[in-house]
Amino acid sequence: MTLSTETTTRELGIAMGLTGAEFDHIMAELGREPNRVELAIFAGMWSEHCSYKSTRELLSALPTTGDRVLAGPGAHAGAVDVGEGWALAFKIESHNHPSAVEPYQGAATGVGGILRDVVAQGARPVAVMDALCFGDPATPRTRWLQDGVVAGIGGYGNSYGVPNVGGVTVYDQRYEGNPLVNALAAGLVRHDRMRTAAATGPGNALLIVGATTGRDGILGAAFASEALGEDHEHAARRSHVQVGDPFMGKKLMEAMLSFEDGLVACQDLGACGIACATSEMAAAGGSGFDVDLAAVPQREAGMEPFEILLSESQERFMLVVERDQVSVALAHFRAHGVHAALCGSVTDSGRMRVHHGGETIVDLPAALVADGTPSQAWERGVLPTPLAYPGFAAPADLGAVLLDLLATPGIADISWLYERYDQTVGNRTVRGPGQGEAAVQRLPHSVAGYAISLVGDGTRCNADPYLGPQSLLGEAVRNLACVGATAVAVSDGINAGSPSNPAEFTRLVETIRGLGDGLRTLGIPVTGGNCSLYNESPTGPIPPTPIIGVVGVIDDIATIPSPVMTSGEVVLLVGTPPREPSPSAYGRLMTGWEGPAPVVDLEGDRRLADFLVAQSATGRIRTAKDAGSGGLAVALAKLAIRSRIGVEVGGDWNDWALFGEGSGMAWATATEEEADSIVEAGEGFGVRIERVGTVAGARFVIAGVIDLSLNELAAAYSGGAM
Amino acid sequence: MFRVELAVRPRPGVKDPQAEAVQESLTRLGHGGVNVDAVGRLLSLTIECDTAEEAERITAGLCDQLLVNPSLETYSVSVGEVA
Amino acid sequence: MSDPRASVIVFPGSNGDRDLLEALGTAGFDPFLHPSHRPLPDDTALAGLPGGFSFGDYWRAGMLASQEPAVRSLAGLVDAGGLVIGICNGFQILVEAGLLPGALSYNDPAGFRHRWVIVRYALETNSPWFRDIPKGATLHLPIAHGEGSYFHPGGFDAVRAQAPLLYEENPNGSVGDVAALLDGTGRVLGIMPHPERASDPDLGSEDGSMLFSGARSWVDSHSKPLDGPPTTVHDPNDLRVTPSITGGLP
Repeated sequence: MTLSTETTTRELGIAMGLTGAEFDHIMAELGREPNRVELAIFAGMWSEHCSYKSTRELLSALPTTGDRVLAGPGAHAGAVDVGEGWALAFKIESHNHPSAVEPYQGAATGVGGILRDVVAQGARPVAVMDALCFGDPATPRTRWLQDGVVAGIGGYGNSYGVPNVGGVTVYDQRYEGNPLVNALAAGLVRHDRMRTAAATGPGNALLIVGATTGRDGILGAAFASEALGEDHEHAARRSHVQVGDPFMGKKLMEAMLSFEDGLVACQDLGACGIACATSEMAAAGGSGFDVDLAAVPQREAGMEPFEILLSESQERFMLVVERDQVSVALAHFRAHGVHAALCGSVTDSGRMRVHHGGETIVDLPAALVADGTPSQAWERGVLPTPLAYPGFAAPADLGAVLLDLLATPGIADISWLYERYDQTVGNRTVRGPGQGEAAVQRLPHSVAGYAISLVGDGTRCNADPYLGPQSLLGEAVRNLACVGATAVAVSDGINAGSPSNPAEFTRLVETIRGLGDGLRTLGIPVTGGNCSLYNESPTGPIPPTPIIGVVGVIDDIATIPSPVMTSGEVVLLVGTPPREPSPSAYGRLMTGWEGPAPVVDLEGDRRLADFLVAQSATGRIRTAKDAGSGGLAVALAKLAIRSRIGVEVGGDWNDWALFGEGSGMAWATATEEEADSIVEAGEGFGVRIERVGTVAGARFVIAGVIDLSLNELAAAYSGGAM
Repeated sequence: MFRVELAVRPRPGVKDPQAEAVQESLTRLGHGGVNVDAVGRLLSLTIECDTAEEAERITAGLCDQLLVNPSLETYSVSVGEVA
Repeated sequence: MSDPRASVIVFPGSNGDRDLLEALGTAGFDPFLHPSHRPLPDDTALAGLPGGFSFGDYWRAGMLASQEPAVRSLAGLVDAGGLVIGICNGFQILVEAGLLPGALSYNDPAGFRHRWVIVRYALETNSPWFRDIPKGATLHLPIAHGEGSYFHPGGFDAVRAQAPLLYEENPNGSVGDVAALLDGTGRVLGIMPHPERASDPDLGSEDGSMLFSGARSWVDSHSKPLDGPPTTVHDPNDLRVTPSITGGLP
């Protein structure tokens, strides 16, 4: 629409992205028209990104309670008890759209943002993981995106000093126009040192610390400025892409973690900047704020009030500090080389009042801004039934199929990518990328540890959005068990298309429902996460893509399975190979079809996990690797490549047994002396386990179907990478 | 043949962490009167072509296509003929 | 008698300071974190320059940090018989400060690289850092850097006699596979791989701890014992406090 000076406030609100009903709701609640700065605040805060208005009710059905949960959804980052008085604060966040525009800075600021959530919780960041979804790896655009994203993730995390300990990379045409960049960050904090965002205590001071505020990533800036009589183009041009500064981020983290006396509350500044932080902190504490915008340290001259309020400049926090500690606090932060300013105070008004140049320019109920968005309902549609694979005969040469699968993007070696990330800074990483099925770190000065598995996939979830996330949960639980860890909590990142499309909204609903039911079956709570909608491009929506981070705990890291097999060990097959078609990399390779709904048996995965964890704790499991993408054959081949040793396995195998995917399958190895007792122990757990071969030599042999040299396997695995 | 020196720098107003860090260090060394306005990159090219205008045009094309991200950066070009 | 004091210099942007602190403590030093904007205290027996991105590594890795008062006071420590180790970014700072010859430049192939590498002890030296390492031994250590390609205008021959550790497989284009460098006294060591991250078998390797244990035993046999109680006590479970108080913003 074209806006003129006669444009009504209602029309302007709709042009900014509010719905008519939302505008009417604002009018009714305020009892007056919002002014144009207030309108810009509502437009930002009531956007899907900030308000979760389309997903809030769906997400509220996820299980969130458990013995180990110390902070759940709504906190800066979820936090879970990982033993010895330590809490692991962890959360997933997406930065999809910024990364599509400017991959380096988009990814870097995504990592910076999720690290600030962990720091806001009071935790020292100890790990980052990343889930990346790209289109065809052969196209120049994908290469440009991937190089930029990987460099951005590394550029931020390496400098900040937090190790990247693993992740998942997915390739699918449907991400071509809309790549996904999700990052998980985790940090350690003592139980009694966790921090809150709830602003309390009228008279307490509001501080802004960190970088200066510039015209960065200002949401709706063009419209807001138009409302203020400015030239649209000029204002749009004036909003800058956010630039990450890990050096400032690191200094700010150290300053934040070492500041305690008189700290009442804190929150990082992300989307909608000061407007978001002040309204949310006040709403959480049942208080209000008087804010003086002129006191905010600014990078550029002549910033408009709405620009200061909505700026998304990186590396900033807001703090509520007891009044008599203000000068100490300001000196503390400045001594750490970051900016700090007193910019307001807590009130008991329940209102977010903003002053600038002697005028009150915003006067709104904080709770209305932060939590008052009416839920948005969307029409549901009917999903197509997943297509079964067209019938095909198994290829005669299954060894060639194995080599093709090992070279498939998403399965093939991506050590080139993880080499771009510091994996060991902090002296905590027990298993980094490529060293185990899940990342493992050690608690400070302890033999105990924790593990994190980050999984994600769109293909399985597109085939069946209800079962897809359950299949992912099963995979994560198996991954954790293979490093001896028991799953205790989940952070989820849901990525989906536009909810205005009935089919896409239905996929979203089913994805969250499937996740919830899966979590209940396994008895694992969600402690937080992220939901990113409107992921589509002119070629269509992305497949529904949940990214799931699961944290597990380990009593003694000394007993966990080794990354590598050694000669003479006995190969044990855990679980029962499938004999029927299942959605799989193999099925896609043979047919180009996505395939039927995934085969999921979470009870089976749990039995397998319980068994592996119990046996690992005795130190008897030498190596363990579950079947994921590519099935049992690919899993064993990867283990052989990593171990640089061959295997010889017997049994009755067909193509689906080798390459089919599903629940409850893994490989383990043990010494000859221990193997029989492990097999016997399986009965007690309801797990089928049998001796099928030995570790030896330099050939990869599955009786009667595959006989390849390790060199052939390794060449396919590493050569298939980009 | 022409030698082109392409200077790429952060767009005015865009956050420039490098300039801030260099500024911080210079200030600590006592150079308070010196202001670090920008930290950028220099690319030196030789281009086979007939006129300086053509060299500039080719360089501008490279900048648009790959070398400069206009949302973050600006650039300036100086051209000189080489034997 | 107390353990010899080891100062870990914390620059704005250092991120390996805690790792080095722990490794020195394990080796029997009394380590403490020291802010870079102040000269080293007189009772320092060993100074460690940790890994990280001092001043963001902006402009040129190590350049801005090399001007810090703590770095400027290192020459005095060396003259007095003290030990210095610069790891990764610390090595870059020592080179920028002129305490070690040559330069560290962008990796070839370009880009940050983390990898477990093998380095070989290839020098006959009586350097304190290598007392516990048999000649010809190989060490398993991680690298994590983007500007670790060692260069000297005189080539490898110019530094051969000062290069104790050589990469078995050169990861960054360093001349002569140089992974570490000693000064003329043998007491100043710059090393690109991270020995402090290889001081525990549960974390992949403990080969790096031999450097610190060597330095520790050398101090016992070469310096006068220091009396008095340990001056700094760090609670190992306290992840909050890093006294990385810098000079502050102008």
